[in-house]
Amino acid sequence: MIAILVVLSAGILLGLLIVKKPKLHLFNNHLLNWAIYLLLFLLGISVGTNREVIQNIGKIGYEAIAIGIFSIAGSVLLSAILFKFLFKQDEK
Amino acid sequence: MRSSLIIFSFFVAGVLVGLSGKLPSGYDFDKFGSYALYLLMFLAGISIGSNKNSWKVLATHNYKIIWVPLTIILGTLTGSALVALVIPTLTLLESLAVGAGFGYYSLSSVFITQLHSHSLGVVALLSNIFREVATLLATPIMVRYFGNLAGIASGGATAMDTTLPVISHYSGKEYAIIAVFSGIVLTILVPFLVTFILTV
Repeated sequence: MIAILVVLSAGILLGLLIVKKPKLHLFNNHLLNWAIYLLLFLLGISVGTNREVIQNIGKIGYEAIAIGIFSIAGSVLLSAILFKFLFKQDEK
Repeated sequence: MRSSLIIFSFFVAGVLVGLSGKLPSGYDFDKFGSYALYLLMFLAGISIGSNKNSWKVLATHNYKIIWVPLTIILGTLTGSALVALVIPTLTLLESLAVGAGFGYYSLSSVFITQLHSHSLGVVALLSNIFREVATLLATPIMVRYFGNLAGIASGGATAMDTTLPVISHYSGKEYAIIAVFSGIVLTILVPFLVTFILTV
């Protein structure tokens, strides 16, 4: 947790140094895309190699997806109300 | 949508590689994953820092941003509570505990395994992975219909790291700071909330 925040802050500081270098922004976005791909691939490997997850995938998956969907729906719907009343007016 | 499909195919490829059992032994893939996460955070940081608009948000939204994580907590727990009504095999507290992971699957699944049971720990792992993957895939659509906070709400704790690039891409870079703030608040709360729910 602390380590992640340190790494993020280091990135932001480095970013501040290249505010006026648009070519580097583009290069950074490419790297960012590939980092996302790598992370999702590794996440897949963790799921695929976890025996307990794979064997009980039916019941466990059903409960997991239900809680996932309802958690997302609840927070997204409430956030839409918050957005409408507090944030939308600040958009240009 | 194209980028979401590419992202998802990398995830599926990973699952297939994992299932194949043909991985070289001796590698710690979870450790590898956390290094990849650091790389991702660093690159996302550069992207935030190099954009002038990123800093505008604190000036324009100021006190308002505290409402973002509070809204996400309320919405998530309300949604999770409804699941316990629909699925009889889950109790209210079990369902709330899984929801209170806010997408932070590694920590919440470990906590729930320790405090409750192994099977609920796996439910928490899958449910919160689902939350992260669904956020990566659906943020473009959710932002269009539910406004610029939708990706941040859906991502929960992951809005500060893994889902941050997608959120900042579709909601605008000025929302990246809100995403990080909300993600940090939720991440810090996960161990406290999960413990509280399972020990009351």
